[in-house]
Amino acid sequence: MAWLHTWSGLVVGWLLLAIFMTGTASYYRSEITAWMHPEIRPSAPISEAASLKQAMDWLEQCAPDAASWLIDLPTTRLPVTQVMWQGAGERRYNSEWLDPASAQTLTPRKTFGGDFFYGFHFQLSLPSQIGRWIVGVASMAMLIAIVSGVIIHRRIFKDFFTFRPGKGQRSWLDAHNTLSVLALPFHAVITYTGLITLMFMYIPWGVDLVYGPDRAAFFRDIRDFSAPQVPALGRAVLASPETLIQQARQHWGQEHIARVSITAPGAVNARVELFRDTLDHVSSQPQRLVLDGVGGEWVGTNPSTGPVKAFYGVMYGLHLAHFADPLLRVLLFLSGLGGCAMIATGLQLWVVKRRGNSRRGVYRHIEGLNIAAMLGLPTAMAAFLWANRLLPGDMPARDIREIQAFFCTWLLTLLHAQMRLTQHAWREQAMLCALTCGGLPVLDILTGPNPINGLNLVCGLLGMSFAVVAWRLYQPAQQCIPQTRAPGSRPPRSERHS
Amino acid sequence: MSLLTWSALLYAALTALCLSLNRHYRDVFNNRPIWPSQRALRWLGFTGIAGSLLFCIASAPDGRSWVMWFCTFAVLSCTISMGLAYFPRFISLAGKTAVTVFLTAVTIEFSF
Repeated sequence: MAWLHTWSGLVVGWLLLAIFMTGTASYYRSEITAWMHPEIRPSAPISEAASLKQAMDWLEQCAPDAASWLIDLPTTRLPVTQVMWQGAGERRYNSEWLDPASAQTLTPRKTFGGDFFYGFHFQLSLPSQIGRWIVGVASMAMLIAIVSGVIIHRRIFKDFFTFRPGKGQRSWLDAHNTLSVLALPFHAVITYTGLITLMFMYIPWGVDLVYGPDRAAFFRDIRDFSAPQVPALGRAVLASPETLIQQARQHWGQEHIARVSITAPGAVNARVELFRDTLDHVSSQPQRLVLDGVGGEWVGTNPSTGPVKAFYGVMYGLHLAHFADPLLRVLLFLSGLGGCAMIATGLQLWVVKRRGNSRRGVYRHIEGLNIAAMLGLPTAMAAFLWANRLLPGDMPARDIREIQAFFCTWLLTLLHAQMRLTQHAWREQAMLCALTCGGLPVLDILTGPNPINGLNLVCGLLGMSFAVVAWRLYQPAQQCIPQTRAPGSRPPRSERHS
Repeated sequence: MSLLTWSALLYAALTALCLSLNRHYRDVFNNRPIWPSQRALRWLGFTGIAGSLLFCIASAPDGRSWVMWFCTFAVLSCTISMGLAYFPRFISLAGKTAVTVFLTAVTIEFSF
């Protein structure tokens, strides 16, 4: 079983570390997006009624003939109103951001924001099918590694709190065991639910059996999708935002609308759907309220969910954690960092166990991969944020350039780790990582509107942590592992005289 | 039961569980557990962990509380593990503080 744990973890370990790291960052996807759009000014809380009215007025003026409108109301995490509209016969939605305070259109810089890390987490910036399959295989290997790890760890209770620093290989093993066992429920659930989110792609046969070739019917059922209204010829004025808000308050109470969808706006058969936020329950399936678009009367709600859909919604919700309040989000973020450290210590343990004192050969290159994954990737993530602020706002395809900055930095750290001696590579990359992460708050103070934000705090703390790591690595190496002697052999000279 | 109450109980219980192991007890006190005994510490630990889970779920009976409890468990136990490695003398003090916080919070909650 030990070989299964070793190889299932090792073969995809570097990939898993990248998936875990970007996934952990995605807990703050909205905050990263807001940070990367300094044009968004933090504003005083705006009521959902005022935001909805602004958005409907804007769409009425700018897209009166659209087939449908979508309005995402501002949140404390991303304080902008997003208006989207779909022209007749068009497949894609056009999108604009409105400042909820002034109701003016924002002209933000082109960037993928936090969506880049989120997309990379499950698709690796590859074509969707290929990327998702690779992530699926890696997740399955992770699940195998978790289960086999529990089976092979015989002293699971005795070693529960055991971490002995400064003892070489023993310390790596302790750190790996402690991080794995203490956050085992998190690791198991996040890996399992990750597989569940894409299970219909990995195991399509059940869906094929029930729905046959009509795949769209399945997605209509699982996502509560209803076909858009075909606009009637007659024109009518839309129900007022106050009427829609009133209906939402009757059913859900105050301030719970996340999204408003209006199909056939301006037609006599206009229909409004209100989507409730998922902040107060685990499931990612939002409650939906269907209203008549002209009179604002209640038409229906989404059909009651069966056990399969409810299970899928809860699993999906557990993975995305939209329900997390600020404290729980911090705890999830810390657990995610623990997962990254678990994978990293496992990878390094494998190398430390085998390389001995040799600094050459295949283990040197594998350790180089470890360095690029453990220190190169956070440096590349920080470089992505640096590029966001340093690239000119009107640069053509600047959103792509930011991504190129991420991959180029990562590639350079990989080459550096392969070309330099490992101890130099560790030190230099830890220092670089500390500088890039720790420099981000300074960059934000110089170029951003509001330097007091959570992302700056986290980057500052990460920068300090990497600085401590770099400082430790620059200390002269100490021989921490007691030298084991063969039975009967003479002790070293220093011990003989003491 | 507030977050402070059950998380203080959880921390105290994890400390008891940690001290129920000879190796960690020796790290902290330089001797073997005499009173409370190793077995008593272990029972206190497991009972406290179960109690904190019950208090957590009772305070907000929905799925989010489970997530909150398991994440708190992971973070607090990692804190104890790191504390044992780098500041073993503070483990006892922190555990006693957690017990005091828990008892005070329970008294206040049941008084009002």
